[in-house]
Amino acid sequence: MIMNLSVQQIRYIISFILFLLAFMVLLNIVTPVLFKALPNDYMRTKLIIQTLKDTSEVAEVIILGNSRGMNGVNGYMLEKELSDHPKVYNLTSTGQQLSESALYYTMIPTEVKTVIQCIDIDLLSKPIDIKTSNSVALHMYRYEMDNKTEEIVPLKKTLDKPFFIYNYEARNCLFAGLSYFLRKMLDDDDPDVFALDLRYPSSHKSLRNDIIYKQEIEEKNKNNMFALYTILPEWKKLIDTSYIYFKQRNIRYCLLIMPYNPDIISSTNEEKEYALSLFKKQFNDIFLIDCFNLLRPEDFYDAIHPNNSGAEKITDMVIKSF
Amino acid sequence: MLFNSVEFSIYLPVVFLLYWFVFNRKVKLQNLFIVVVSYLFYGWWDWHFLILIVITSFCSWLSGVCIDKLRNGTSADTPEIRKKCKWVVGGNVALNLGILIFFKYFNFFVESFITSFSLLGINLESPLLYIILPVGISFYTFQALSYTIDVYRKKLEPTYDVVAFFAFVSFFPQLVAGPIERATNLLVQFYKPRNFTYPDAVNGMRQILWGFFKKIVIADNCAIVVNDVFGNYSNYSASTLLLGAIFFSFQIYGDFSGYSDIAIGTAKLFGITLKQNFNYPYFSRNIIDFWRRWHISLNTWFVDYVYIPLGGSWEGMYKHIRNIFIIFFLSGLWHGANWTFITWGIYHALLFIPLLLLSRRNNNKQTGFAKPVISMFITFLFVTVGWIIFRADTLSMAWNYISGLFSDSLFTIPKVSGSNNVTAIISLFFIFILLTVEWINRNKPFGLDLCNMPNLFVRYSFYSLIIASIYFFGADASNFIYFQF
Repeated sequence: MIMNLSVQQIRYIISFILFLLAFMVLLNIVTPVLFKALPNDYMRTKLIIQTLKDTSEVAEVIILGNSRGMNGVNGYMLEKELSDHPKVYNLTSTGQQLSESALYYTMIPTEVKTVIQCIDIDLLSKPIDIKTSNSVALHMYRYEMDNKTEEIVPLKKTLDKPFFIYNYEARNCLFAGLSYFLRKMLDDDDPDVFALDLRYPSSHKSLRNDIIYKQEIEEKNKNNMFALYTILPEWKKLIDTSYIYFKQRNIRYCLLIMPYNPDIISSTNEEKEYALSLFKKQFNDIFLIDCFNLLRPEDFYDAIHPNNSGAEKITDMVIKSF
Repeated sequence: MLFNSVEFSIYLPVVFLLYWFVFNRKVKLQNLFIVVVSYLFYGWWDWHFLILIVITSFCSWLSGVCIDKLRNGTSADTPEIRKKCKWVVGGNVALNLGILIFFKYFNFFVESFITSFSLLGINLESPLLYIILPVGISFYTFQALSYTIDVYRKKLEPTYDVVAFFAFVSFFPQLVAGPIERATNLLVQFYKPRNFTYPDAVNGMRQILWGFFKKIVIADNCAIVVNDVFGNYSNYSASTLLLGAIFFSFQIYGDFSGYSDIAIGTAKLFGITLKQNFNYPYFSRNIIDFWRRWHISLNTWFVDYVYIPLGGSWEGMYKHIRNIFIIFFLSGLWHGANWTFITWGIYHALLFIPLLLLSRRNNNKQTGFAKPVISMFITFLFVTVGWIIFRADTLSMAWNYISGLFSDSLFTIPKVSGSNNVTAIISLFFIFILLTVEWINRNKPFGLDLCNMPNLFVRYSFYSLIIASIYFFGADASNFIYFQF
């Protein structure tokens, strides 16, 4: 039970432990540099923050939401078809749920006339949260929460982690960067469009990915997302506060109810209709654009994302509603 | 507790420091500490099942003591004593296997029984129970059994030191996924004071690092592609199915041998030497060679405690073949309560026996480069087909998967869904690194054995690259495959 070590060996061990610690610290420090330097799926967060801060180029219509909104609302078509041809920015991004969108509300310039918030109604029965990868992107691209936003979105604690934890959570940035380059080379879809387009960031060139479609439908059909549907009070408060906030600023706040794929049959029609009617009842003061039952299975690229034809229908519905 | 968890990164240094600096005065105290921290390690998953380890340990220890008492401390015994000893060892084996069978195979046997009756047109009610499989039960049960049998065979002196014995059964690095140690190797190390030596500690750290690389970078990344392909095999081309099967070969190797490397390396930090469990199995030149290199501790267990008692190869060709079938059947069954595992065992027996009959036990003497590489490649392909059976949920799925390999699309470019293509390419790169490093060090006990590399800068660069790969390219922490066995 003796440690048979010479002084030199003890020195080696201490040097090795110090090297290990220093190397881990170095990796942690390098991570944000790499994250910002390399392309990744969350580059849109940077684009959104920059666009909202840039007062020289202000849009009249702003669309916020997640990847369903990216693929589902065509800003080019809106600009072309709406009367007066307003400038439209589709500032949706991957995993941008309502709680994340709300973080941008106070950054929206006063010149904006309409904010279209894409919303998945099933989300409102789950607690308010933000995905780790999205909070990492917000931290990396220097998002700062102001007092008013703190009032609207109860996410201050979630977004207030120490910097080294964010750095650690961003460690797959090299993988993401490589992934981005490889996708550019191998895939039909162009990730640049997906990351940088301000009007219609949909990169899908085909109407359907059959393999993914089947897989995802099978997966979705395992869970009934509308069983015992309720709207949590925290969501109700968030939406109501946002509505009042925009009303005070003379900005029209619209909720665009995103479509549901009819091939997902885990919920009964009654359950779905109940959820939809409850949502409409709870927010009857707000301008709602109901696309919930608008699309058919062939309008989806995969289980949840609309394809070009689906986007056309949704955008057309927005135009008609306006 | 998982090796690849935050908890373990705190647990290991704390246990290490307490072991060497607080509990280092007496062997018994150190052993007691090992038992306590091992139970903590296991209980982190579910403390209820600690009772099974206690029962297994106590009964096996007691059976050793009883055998010694019956023999009255002498090696000369009468037929009557032999008979009594047989009852003791038989009782202990029955009890331990009984626990194992109940937790692992009860539902399987009931279902198989009902299915076979339903084929005869007799419908029986199914009394299936909801049974949780205790992690690592097959490993520690076999380890404890080896002690009793060795004592009975007079290969080992029974121990009266109950703490040392409990430490032997529950030693945390190898408790849940091996290597399955023998009392002749591990138990005796708990009798003596342990020494912390610099070369062992350094080598241990290297082996741990290499184990983490294999688990987190190779196995966990391959798992993403494998789960996709096996989960949707009917939608994919033959080339993609082949890619999925090859990736599973590397997933299971990285996962299991990675665990063994971490276990052996950790044990070295505590002054304990564990057996080598893998010897670069994918460099095997035939199936017999493969089974000498894959999960060595389990295979030698079956050879010593099943194959040899059955007569081994000394009682004629028929019995020899029968014995090989039996150990492969049991080896398959040991992996789990599913016909896929049993079929996997039989598949290997069918590959093994012709080579044995042709007396091709060892073609490691092949010289040159091309012939050995071709042999390795062919062996790898046969092993990979076996892994398809192993990985499939059911036999029909395995059949459909293997049938799917034989189509024109075998010669197309493999493509999995979405961003998994990128994961596949990055995994291929790391598989190449793994094979290169292991090929260079194939005559050493593990891949990252850099004992003979004198240049400090090169060594540290190597460590840095591996740590950086784990940091930047490691997939999310997941369970080890062999925990379920």
